[in-house]
Amino acid sequence: MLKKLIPVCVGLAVMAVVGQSVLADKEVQQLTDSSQKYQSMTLEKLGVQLNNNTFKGGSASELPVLDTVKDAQGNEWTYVSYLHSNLIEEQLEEKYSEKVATSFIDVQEKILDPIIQVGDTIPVLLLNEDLTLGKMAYLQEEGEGKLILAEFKLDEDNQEWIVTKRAK
Amino acid sequence: MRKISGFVFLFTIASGLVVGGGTTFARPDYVWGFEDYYSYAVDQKAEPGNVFLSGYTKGEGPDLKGVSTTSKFYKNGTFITDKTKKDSSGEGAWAQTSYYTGPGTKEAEVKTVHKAYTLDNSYISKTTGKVWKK
Repeated sequence: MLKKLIPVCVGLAVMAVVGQSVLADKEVQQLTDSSQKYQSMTLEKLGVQLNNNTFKGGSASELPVLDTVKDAQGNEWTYVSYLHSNLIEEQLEEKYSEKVATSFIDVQEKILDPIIQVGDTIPVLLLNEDLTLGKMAYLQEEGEGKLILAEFKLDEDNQEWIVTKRAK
Repeated sequence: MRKISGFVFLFTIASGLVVGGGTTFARPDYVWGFEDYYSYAVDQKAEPGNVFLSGYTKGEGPDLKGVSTTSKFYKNGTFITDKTKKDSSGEGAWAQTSYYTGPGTKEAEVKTVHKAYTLDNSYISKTTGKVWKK
């Protein structure tokens, strides 16, 4: 009886060790404290409310990497930082296609690359629930400058994202 | 008996054509993709606070034309610079960006766009990001 249990125990031990390392690999590291502060400031300027706006008053609690937030009109958006946009890209690939996910990356480059400047903060990304509308926003001059905002939407027929409001 | 053997023979041939033909037609035009892609951030032991930020892309497949790696580097929460590296040497092509933040850095981030191009110049993209805190 004991002999029969040995392979099972070995199997469970291997699963425990391997499983832990797999989970550790998948763990998403939150942004630096400075970037979290700027993300919070950007969202505030957009009129978006976080469930836990922990950076008000300089608190060092962490923002969620991915969160559902509400704008001033009560619309729900999924918030993620530009650094973690791969979390949305994975959802787009699963829901639509690899082409849509690649186009989502392209539209962000199209918005950001011509205008990015030294001192700009890491952009905030907001996506609606259906993953068909998006916003990209950030602050200039180390958070002291103006808010830059661009909007984009998914053209489902052509499976590509298009800019609907140029960054300004 | 001969009729059954004939039927089995024809059935086998027909099945082979359906499965084989389907596999052939379903095969993508090009075989290409990513072998590896990531962003990287590590402090220099010899120079504490001088953080090495990097993006790396390696492609694979016989129809790979090349890869590109574009990284945006952020220090203490704001944009410093960006760099792009490309390699169009075909199968096994790789490209790596690199940037040193300079001593005294407390926080840094790197965001990388990885692209793999096929022979007809179409491409697929992935992105990765890495955070470094003192």
